[in-house]
Amino acid sequence: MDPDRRYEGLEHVTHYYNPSVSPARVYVSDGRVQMVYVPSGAAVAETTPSEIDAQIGGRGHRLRSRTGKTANQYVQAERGVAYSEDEGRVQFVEIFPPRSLEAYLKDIYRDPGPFTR
Amino acid sequence: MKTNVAGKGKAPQTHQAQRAGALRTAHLDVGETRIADGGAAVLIGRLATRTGEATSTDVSLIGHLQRTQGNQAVQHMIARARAHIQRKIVTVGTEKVEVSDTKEAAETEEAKTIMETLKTTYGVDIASGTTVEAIKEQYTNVPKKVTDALSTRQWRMIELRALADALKSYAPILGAARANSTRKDAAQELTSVGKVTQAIDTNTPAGELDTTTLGEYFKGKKSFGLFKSSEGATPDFADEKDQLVGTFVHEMGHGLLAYAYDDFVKATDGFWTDQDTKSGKAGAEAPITDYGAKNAREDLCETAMMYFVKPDVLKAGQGAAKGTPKNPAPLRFAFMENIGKGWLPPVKAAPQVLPSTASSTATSTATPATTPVPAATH
Repeated sequence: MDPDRRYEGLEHVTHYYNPSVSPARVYVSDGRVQMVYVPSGAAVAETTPSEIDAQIGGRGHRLRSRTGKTANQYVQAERGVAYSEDEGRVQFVEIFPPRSLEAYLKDIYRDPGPFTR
Repeated sequence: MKTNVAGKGKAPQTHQAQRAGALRTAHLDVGETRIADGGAAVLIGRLATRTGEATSTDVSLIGHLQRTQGNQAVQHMIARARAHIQRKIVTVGTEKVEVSDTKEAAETEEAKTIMETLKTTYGVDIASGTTVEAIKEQYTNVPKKVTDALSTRQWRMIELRALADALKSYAPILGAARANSTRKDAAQELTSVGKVTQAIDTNTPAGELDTTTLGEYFKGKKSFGLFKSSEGATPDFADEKDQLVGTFVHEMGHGLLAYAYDDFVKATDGFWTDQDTKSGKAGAEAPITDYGAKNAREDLCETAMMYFVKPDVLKAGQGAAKGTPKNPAPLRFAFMENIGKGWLPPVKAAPQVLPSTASSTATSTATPATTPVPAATH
């Protein structure tokens, strides 16, 4: 447990992580889970973007992904799910309390800016 | 805008005299009205498209123009015109190289030597066509008309020289030397480099040729590209040669240092939770550039860039407080020091040598590759 951490736009959150239990990292504030972040690795290696899309009703809004220039991040904010993919492989998944796209962009997402090198 | 009124009402002049007169008139326009950028541009543009006809008189008049007006835009145009007049493009192997008109033979030979050395010493081909293919292979969601528009571009000598310098940074794990390094069991992650006019902005059906990418590594083809946008760009260093070396070191790092990404995350004081996510840990040593804050992979490549080009800046920072990009980065400096040492195989215990036989007996059974050193010693 790490108090007073950050996940992208979420600040002053407590970070919970126990890899022997789950690969996911959980971010909590005010007694409420604000984000479950599943990083790249075995947990998402067998999942395809199409499978996630099918679960959440479509591909969602495309954003620039912080993982790199050829990657894309797709968000279905009203469903509380976002993920990053590159070359058809899921890189990470975010699960969060549903909200509007505008609220996701304001409170969680941070644009990494263009990748120029 | 006045441009060419020379000879009006006077006896017919030769073509060259008319041209010189026009330039003088343009000079007066610029000097007296200060609105003649367009006129100067037209004249200089004419010169630039007529390089074969450019004379010393023209060049002298351009110089006079430059001295007598202070407009930076016009100076830039003059510089471009001069450069155009004095450059030509030659073919070296499969590549186009821009050389000086007055040093064509020497620079052509130098370019050829650099390309051969990079191949024989480092196992790196200069092959722009391969880089174009690498882009197409990686940007699979982009419309074909966009990938079809990708084109190779001529190298400049400053780029080839910087490329040779940058490769020295990774010498122990390149070419034949790699077989003597701790990376010998993994295939070399960089085998070609290309010069390409434009990159592609996103790997989506909306992807377009972009004008901002300086360089990009393409894992599939073990290749990286340098793009036209890099010409004259100096986002990190005041000197263009330093910038080019830095850009090359950065792109090479995406291949040659990729094996160390996870170790780098662990070595950076908790700044990164994983390769893609910042932790928000207060006071953790931050990347040495703003660009390095995108993700840990970019951070490592920026670290390598600064380590090999301006090592003192990596250690001392660029004036930012600890915990913010551009802060002093001694942990990152130490990581680079250690990674370089890690490329060398362990030195075996030297046999005991008695003083009386020291002068005629080898003292070590291992000959480590050269330790990578910051570019200050290149």
